[in-house]
Amino acid sequence: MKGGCRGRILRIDLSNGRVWEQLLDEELCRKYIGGSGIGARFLYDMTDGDTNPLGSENPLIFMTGPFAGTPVPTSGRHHITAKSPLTGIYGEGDVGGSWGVGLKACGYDGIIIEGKSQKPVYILVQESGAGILDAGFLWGRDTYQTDEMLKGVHGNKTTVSCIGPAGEKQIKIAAVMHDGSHARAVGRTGLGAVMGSKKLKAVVVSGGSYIPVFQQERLKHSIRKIVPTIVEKTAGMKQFGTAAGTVGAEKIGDFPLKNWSGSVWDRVENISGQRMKDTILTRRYFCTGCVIGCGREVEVKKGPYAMKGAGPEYETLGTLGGLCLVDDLEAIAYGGELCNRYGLDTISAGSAIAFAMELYEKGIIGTGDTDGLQLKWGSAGAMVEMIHQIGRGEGLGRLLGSGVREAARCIGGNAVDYAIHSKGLEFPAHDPRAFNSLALGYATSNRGACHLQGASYFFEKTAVMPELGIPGPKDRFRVEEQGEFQKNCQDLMCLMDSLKLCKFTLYGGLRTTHVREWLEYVVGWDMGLEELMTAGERIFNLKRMYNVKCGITRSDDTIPERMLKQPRTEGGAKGNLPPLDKMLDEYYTARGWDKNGVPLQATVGRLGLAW
Amino acid sequence: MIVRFGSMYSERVGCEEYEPGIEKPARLIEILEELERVFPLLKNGSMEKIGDRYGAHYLCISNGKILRLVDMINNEDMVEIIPPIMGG
Repeated sequence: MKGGCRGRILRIDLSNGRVWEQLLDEELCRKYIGGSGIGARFLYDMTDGDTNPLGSENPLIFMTGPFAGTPVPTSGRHHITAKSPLTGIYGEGDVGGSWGVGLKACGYDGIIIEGKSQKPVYILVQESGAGILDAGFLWGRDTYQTDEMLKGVHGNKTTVSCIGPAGEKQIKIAAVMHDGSHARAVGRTGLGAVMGSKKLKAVVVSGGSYIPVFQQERLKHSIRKIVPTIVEKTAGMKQFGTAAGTVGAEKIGDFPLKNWSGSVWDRVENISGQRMKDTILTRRYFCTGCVIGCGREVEVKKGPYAMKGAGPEYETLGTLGGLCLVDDLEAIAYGGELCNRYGLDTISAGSAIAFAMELYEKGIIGTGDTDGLQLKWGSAGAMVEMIHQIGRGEGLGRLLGSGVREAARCIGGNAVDYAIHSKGLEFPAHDPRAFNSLALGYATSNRGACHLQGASYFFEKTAVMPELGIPGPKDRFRVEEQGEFQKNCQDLMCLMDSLKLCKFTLYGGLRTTHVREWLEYVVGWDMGLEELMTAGERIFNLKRMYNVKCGITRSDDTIPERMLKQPRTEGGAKGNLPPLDKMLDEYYTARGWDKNGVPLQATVGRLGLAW
Repeated sequence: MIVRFGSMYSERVGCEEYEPGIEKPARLIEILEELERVFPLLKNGSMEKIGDRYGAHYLCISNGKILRLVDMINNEDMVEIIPPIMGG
């Protein structure tokens, strides 16, 4: 490879302290690109359906993309892959910040961590190599403290990936956090618990080497053509954050309300991006290499929710806010900070709290189960207290921290009717009754309910991709032509997750032509559209094959009854119920899978895969 | 009053700025009705009402604020139409 990729990864076995390097051959990199794709390849080869997600044999795989550390905009992201302890199937997460560039600057494309340490440790990676160091002084610290303490030891130019107390306790909705109080999170699928199971507190990177680019001047020229467009088209995000369209989301019936049982909410403006800008916003945050700047830094100066740091994103506003009917922006900002410090996924935490609130309302649980806490809708105090309980693994929080599926199973009765998830992963803050394609996307996403594994709704709002047959925004309530559309979206998002480019660039006008140019100018790969999309399709199918080995069948490719049979009664999605079965049949055909959702041998062979 | 179209919309309507011909001050919804009448390609044909389209297919900002359909727009204001992106 002529640039971008370093062609090597770090391998670490915490059981015996062994540290070694593995070369990555170009064929592998070209077929799987980087990030999510290479992570998938290694996870498939190293584990199987019987692997215990919290056992020593589950590897934790950190992987960058081919553009990290180059001038390609938004390319500093990285990916983490492992078998998920929350869902028991494929687990992964994508994150921005600066850690990915830091690792690449040490000379590595990724790190694979196996085994388990006997005592708390952290890993330090530098250009000269890597070492496993004692983390006794960090164990028990929250993620902000951990970041500060490690910078105190190794210098301010280090970047830290770490877990908080939630990950240490192996709470199944624990996140892996980055960049201290900037709080860039790998939130989904409980990968913080995997890290905690290895007694691995942090991975610190400290490097400064130059990342070569094959054709620097041609790359710069290409980037200069697209960046002004990306900046202009995403201006709303820079001004108002990812919450720019929160009020609009409520209007169209997309915003989550009352554990997904609500239809409209006249208080949504209290927690909008506009309100944040007018009250608690102090400045914007840009991930390394980003030109969009959607991140928020906020400060609540006084009161019970005083805090200073990363501000709540749309998802956090949706799940700690609308899902719980909490309209106190300061409380949500504080709750978000607690999740960041404990190292918890705000989506799963908010979902679990809303689930508990509904059970409390219905009398399925009572104050005897909550240590006297009244889990009422709209109670900011109850929301905040539950985050503490979940983060500490105490009281009802101990159960909720196992995820809504497991919590419902333990509670029994009809608690399962109120557990809103797909394949064990709680719903993000977008309603599949507002976008039929999201119903199909949630049902078939390889990590469970995820809006970003397909991001089909991007192309039903404003994004376009003419070369994939999407010349303009599609009707969000359409029933026809969902199968091929979802497949194309998912294959494209597999590419984005493997290239480690921010998906918001798609709103900014990014096309596959830009990606192909950058692969040529950075790495030296001349990839046509077909080869590029085939790589995305290969990666998606590999993850599906992994899930089939974990026991996933068509019966798991679904969404809760509430989404299939209970329409919103008012608002922009009033009356709509997504026809999932019909869309699923069409989707399986488009995918080249059988009627049970198993990739056909012809598909597996065509993609160069094997069971 | 000037309406400025973000690049996604200017490509669709064929211009970057437009001065609505309606009487000012006017509510945002009245301005949007005028714009969609003059520029039919501005709207997405799948939704019948402006109230459904606003927030789904475009947002309007003015003076650093996201506008609501009921907000009054004065003669000296500039309204910018931007994509309603959010989430992640």
